Amino acid sequence: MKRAWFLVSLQAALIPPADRSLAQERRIPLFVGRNVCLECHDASEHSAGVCTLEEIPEHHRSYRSLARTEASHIAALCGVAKSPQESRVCLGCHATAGEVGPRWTAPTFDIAHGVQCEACHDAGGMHAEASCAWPAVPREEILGGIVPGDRATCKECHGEKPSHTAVLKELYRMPLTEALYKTPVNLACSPDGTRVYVVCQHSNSLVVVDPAKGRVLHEIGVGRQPQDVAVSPDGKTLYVTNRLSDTLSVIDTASGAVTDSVGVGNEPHGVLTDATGEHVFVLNTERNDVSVIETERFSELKRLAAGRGPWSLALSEDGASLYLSSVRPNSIAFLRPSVSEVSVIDTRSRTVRNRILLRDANMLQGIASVPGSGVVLVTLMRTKHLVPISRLAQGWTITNGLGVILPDGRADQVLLDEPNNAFPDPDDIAVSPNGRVALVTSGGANQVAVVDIEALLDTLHEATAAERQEVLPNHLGMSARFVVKRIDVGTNPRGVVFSPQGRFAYVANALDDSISVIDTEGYSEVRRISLGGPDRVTAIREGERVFHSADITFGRQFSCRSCHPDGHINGLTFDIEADGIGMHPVDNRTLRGIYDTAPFKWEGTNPSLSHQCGPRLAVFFTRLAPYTPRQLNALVQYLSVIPRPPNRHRQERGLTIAQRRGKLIFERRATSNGKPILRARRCTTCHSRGYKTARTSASVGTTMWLDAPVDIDVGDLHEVGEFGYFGMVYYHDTGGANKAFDAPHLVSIYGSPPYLHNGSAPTLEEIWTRCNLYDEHGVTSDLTRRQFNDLIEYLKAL
Amino acid sequence: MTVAIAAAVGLGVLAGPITPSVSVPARLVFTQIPRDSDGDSIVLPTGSRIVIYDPSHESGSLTVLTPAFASAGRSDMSFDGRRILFVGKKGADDPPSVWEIGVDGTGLRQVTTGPGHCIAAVYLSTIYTMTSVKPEFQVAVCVRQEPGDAPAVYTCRLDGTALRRITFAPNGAFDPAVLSDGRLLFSDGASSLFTVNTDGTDVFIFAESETVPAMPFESGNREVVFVENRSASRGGGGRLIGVSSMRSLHTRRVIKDVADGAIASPAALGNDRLIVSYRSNDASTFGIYWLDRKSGVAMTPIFDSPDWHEVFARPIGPRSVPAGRSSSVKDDRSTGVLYCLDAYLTGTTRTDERIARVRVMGSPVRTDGGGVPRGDTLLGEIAVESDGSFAMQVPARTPMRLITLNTRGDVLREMRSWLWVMPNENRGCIGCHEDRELTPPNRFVRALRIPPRPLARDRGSTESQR
Repeated sequence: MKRAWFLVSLQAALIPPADRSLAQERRIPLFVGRNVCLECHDASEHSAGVCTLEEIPEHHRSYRSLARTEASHIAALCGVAKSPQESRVCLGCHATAGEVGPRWTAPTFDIAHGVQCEACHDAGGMHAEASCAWPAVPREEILGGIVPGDRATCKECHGEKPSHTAVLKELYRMPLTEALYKTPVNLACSPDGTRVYVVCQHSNSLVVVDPAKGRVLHEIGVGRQPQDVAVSPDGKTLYVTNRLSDTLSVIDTASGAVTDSVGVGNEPHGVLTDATGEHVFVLNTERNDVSVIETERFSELKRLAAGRGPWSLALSEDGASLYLSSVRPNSIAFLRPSVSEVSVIDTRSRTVRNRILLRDANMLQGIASVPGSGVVLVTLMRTKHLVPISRLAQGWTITNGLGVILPDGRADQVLLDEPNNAFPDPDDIAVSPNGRVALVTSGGANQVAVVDIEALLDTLHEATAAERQEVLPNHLGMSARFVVKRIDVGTNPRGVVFSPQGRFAYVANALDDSISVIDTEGYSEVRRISLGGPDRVTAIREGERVFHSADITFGRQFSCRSCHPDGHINGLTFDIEADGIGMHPVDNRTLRGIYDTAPFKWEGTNPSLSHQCGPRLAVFFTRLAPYTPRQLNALVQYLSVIPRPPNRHRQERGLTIAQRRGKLIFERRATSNGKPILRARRCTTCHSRGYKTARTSASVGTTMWLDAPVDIDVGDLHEVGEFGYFGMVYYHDTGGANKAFDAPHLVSIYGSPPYLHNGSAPTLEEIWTRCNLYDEHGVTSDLTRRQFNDLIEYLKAL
Repeated sequence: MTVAIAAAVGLGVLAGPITPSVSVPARLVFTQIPRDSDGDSIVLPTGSRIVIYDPSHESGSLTVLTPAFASAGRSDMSFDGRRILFVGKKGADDPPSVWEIGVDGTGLRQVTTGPGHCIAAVYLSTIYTMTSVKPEFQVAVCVRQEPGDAPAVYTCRLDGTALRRITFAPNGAFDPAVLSDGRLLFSDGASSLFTVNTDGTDVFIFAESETVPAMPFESGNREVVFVENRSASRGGGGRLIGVSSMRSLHTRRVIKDVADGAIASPAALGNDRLIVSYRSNDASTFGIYWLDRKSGVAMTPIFDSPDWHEVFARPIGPRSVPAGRSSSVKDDRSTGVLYCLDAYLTGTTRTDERIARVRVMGSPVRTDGGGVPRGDTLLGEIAVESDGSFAMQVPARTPMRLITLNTRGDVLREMRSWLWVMPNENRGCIGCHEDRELTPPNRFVRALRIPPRPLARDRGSTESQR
């Protein structure tokens, strides 16, 4: 008893000074570990009471089991990119205090003890402290410091998990071949054209190719999931962004050695230097900002705010401006057109000079400036997410094209599709040194389009202002004027670059580990250079190809990736025909780490990924024949292993104090004034343990008249805000019955806006501030502003 | 409905020099029609027959595949190159029906016995519905209920079951052909080619013709080749036209025109050549020729018999399977939805005059597969929202024309062609006679903010709910 008291008294000392007063104020308990619990709750006659649960040896071994080989295979199926013993998802069931982290454990606590008393009863620090003071403190206070466990707690972890079944019973193993693929995604040329540097995402490497001889010279290891490469103007230095490492690798081209690794922002993607090479600009895709780094000491000078998901950069011909594409649309109001941003940075002052908005556009990726014209071209999609997906002909669902940024900052849009033959997933663009030709890759069609830039600009100049606004962006016939050819290349072409003299162009074929060499005299592929990946195509690799191919869609209009870039989301909602047109908009959901989170669909009606991607997908989306059994199996295998990036809101030592407070709110059973919260209204009822989903459906009061139409006068609902707040008010006021929706998992939920089944909440906060008027989606109306902010901070850390 | 007959057929082999072949890479199957007939293959003249021509045989040889038939014609080659689908009559008084036979003459079986007089049949790719066990291959059959009726296209499985009508054009649907993207192409018998999905949804104009378009066929490089008939007779032949499948309304070109003669029944012979029937003048018979698809030059004879018309030649061998189709059509429903995003949009511009309502005129059809009675009937009206949108429930399988009305009820514009929806189809239109290459604007239009409403007969109930 004394020992427990002594250790618990250390609580304040264990918390960082900055957090200490807040921790004490809020009286946040620490996890003390089973040995402290057993000091009182042993089997002796003086015991304070023994757990009714029998001793379960597996509970003690559960943490150590995460070190087994099988655990890494299970982790791969769970989207866990790190060691299982470091994963919050795995630790959620295999350990105690795994979610809060070591910051919130006392020295008496040992995570190696696995599932301990506090796994069910939560942190016992305050309970132990109060117990030591008994009888000076009332019994209620002692009991109030602990969560009473029940059998329902067991079910939170002891449910069926497909990943565990697959590995432990069906003996699934991640193929070793998988680790050997290269997956080239971007490339750059040396200034003299003798080398092509190819970023290989899968092998975490940069491959150096001699294009004249058509062979690989050597391979340089870089950080995790490299994305882009830039060459310094003098050709002596390479810069490679590492998306999962949050770093920039600096490589000396002469030695081929990585000379530095510079920390940048979250998920760096595009990288480019200014004309002098004195500064390098890195696009932090997850943080929506740009790291400006000076190249003498490689220190970060500043961060500039970009659009959402900054992706690629282009330097203007005069070197004065950098143009940035944004892969996700800016936050948009419910059922409003998407708007995406091209940010313009002044390279001298290193400030944002302009933000050019492209209406109805999303997935802005490749970007390039046109020498001699001041024009910048950017690849884009025009997704018709406000129009029912009831047909595909006539470019009904997704169109693909180019944004044309003129020197005065105006932006036009044109399509690269032609009727009945789309140009799906335009990934990257390169402009010839003479400014006459642009090459655009189509990852979904395995093609490269050859664009006559003069003809493109003539098309714009000949059109009226109204035609440029309404017709050209939506006309499938216009591409015939300026797309002079489509070149077949390898599987899933991504990056494209011209050689310095423009004689050749090189294309990174991501899913067959090769680069295509295009002769620009006839614009045809003259050579395909293998980067040395394995010849064998695993089922996962085959599934990845299926995922990225638009051959499954009528008119090759889109691939799975078109709406799920990087296995994630495009930030849009869709009106799917199955439940009626115009109604029931549904939010697009991430595919990262979802293998264990069935059922799928917002209605929760698809019990497995095979169902989710089965014939229903063909009937309501692609309209062609469903996947063959082989294709479907491969696709499911691929979907099962799409990893999720590390959570950047989560610190290595665990939750911050605000997040820890938020966790208490998330798990609370009573309101601030002590009124019990009904089980159905508690967060943990639907969002429990590892993935934070009980995998059930629940009605949380978010049904709108768009979901289950009622006979109401909608005459005043045509202005801003009509579909969010007011939509629900009207629905409730008419007494309509709420629908139940699938409780989504909350892992990395911060990266998946908008929220709710229909995307009516653009931010996490608005789930409750705008869409929880009757406390049906958890009781939140009593929360203070700080409590509410704490809750949001906690959710971001999941 | 289904009669499957497996019968070994005694083959009559004819040999002898008729017209020397010239570098034909493959065996051909075609229809021979007696010279004395008028050359119109549609009526399946008595004595017409399916033959296989083998150019590898010295001097060539003909094998008659249908010696047991009173007449047979209009064949199509299966995707695996092993079977032939054709329309035939065993007895002179039998109604024409669809048969299938192996290229080696074995495995003759009847595919359909109805629902009327079959005049053409082609293989289709697979179709899948939510009630299917798995995707299944189909055939499309062009049928007249009675001689003289406007024909319609039906689909069925290869065993003749699951018969479903998929075209409802009042003037008929002729000469079905399948495109590589899986859609069915047909002629309206007047001046246009249309496409329709193989579940009957999304009927859409494909190409326009100066005269009656006939016998379309998708050849290499996705170019659709068809005949612009010289006369009103659909089987008489004419000049050869090509359009790109991608921009079919804007890429029309004359591949081959012949001053006095006529060309008929084109098909692909590899990627760059076409195989056609040609006769130099009305007095001669159609023979089989090939020509270069791109240039239209070198009309080179392959086979021409002075006693027969040779038409509908197809190379024997495997070919690419067109894309399959997955369908949301529900046959147990009686309605579909027709919605329009902006009735003010015509061509590429918006008109100014206020459109108050849309009137829907229909032409009821017999659901038992009968011909289409002529004459419009009023199906009802629907209000047009202020943004130009409207959405309505309409009877399925019914040809419809739309008429826009102003606030006084005056007619503003009237649709000249017809469209239909299938049960449970949600057919979207961008505008009224909008540019067919225009894609929809990304707008959540007003008409879609409430469920589509049924058509109303009285004007009061069609006023906007807004």
